[in-house]
Amino acid sequence: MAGLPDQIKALAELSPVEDLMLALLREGLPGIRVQSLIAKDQKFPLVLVRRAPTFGEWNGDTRFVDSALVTVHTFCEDPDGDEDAAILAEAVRVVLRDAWLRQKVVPGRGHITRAEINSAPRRATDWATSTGPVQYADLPVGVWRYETTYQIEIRRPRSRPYAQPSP
Amino acid sequence: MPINDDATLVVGSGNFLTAPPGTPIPTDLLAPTSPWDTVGHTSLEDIFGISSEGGDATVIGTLQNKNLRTKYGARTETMALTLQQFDVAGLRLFYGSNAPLLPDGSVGVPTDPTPTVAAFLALFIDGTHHFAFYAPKAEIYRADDLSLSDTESLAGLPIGVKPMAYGSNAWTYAVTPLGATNLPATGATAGTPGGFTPTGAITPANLAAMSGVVASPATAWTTGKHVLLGDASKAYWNGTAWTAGQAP
Repeated sequence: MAGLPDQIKALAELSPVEDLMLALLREGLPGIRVQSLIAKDQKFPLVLVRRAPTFGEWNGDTRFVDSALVTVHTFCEDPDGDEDAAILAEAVRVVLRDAWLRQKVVPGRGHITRAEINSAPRRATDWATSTGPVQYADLPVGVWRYETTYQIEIRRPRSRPYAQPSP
Repeated sequence: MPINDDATLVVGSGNFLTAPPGTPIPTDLLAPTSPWDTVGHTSLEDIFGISSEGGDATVIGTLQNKNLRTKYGARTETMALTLQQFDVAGLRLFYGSNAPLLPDGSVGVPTDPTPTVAAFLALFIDGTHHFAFYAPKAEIYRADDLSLSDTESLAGLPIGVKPMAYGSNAWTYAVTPLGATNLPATGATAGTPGGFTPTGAITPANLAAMSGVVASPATAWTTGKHVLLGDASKAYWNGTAWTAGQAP
């Protein structure tokens, strides 16, 4: 099976932001599905995490700090799906803030050095906002979605995510 | 000096603590135990700063050499932080340790305020690494006037911390090199006192915790050489084992 040569992977210093967010949110939200893609037969409640495009200047440090705009979608079903999705979005905010202030390190992924809300949780009635998921045409009946945008600063892992190949 | 990526600091979190004067720096900086106690919530934006006064350089010359040497005046430093916890303990740090608690529960502002004298620790955390300022004795008092200027942000009490020389110390405060959290010491180097390796490693708590620590040099340490342990006792290497006290 084809793949990247080890010496190429060893060049990587940063790891995907989604991987760090998934690890932190899965630990902080036990019992909640935390994913970066939607499953074909998706069950809810769901937290969907995706890095969003940034325009203009990237604010990281080329050596040690990544800066990412991350969109977090929370989905809940009726009854009370609307309220539950809003509460889940707030729970995500608390988990991310605590991961920052407690300096929760995910091995090989780094840790958050700043987490700020760029766009507060807001109800979105379908999949199709500009940063929303577009895998499927329509939001399932009885499912509610809230969308939040975070500015996340990430200290890269102390050791590179992929080890140097042995000679 | 070699490039060391692990010695770079991005402050992610932190804490400020006080203890009775002379209290040694905690063995585990991330889990300080009594009598160390936090000062409470502090500002997320104005984290910490150090300003100084004095230290002016005077060039001393002779007829033959106009720039023979330079003499520096004494320098006093003030650490600044913004306390955001308006409880009795916090108000006394700002208004003075002699601020009386009045019968109705309010705190009186003394006419002749006395600064709080305490050991002080400022701790900054970067993932698994930490960086700290430690003063065994410091005077803590208001650094600026109080201003409640808006309704949008947490109000703050500007606090100044002036490190003072403790006992016979020739220093006022210490700065810990960036060290890894929970990294046990693997080696000990002779000195008066000596140090532990790797840099930033946690000081062994007591003599029993020295087992497994490799002495440098491995021969019996010479007179007076020792290392300081976490329980404030001394230990030295007698050539075969770690022994309490300093080398005879």
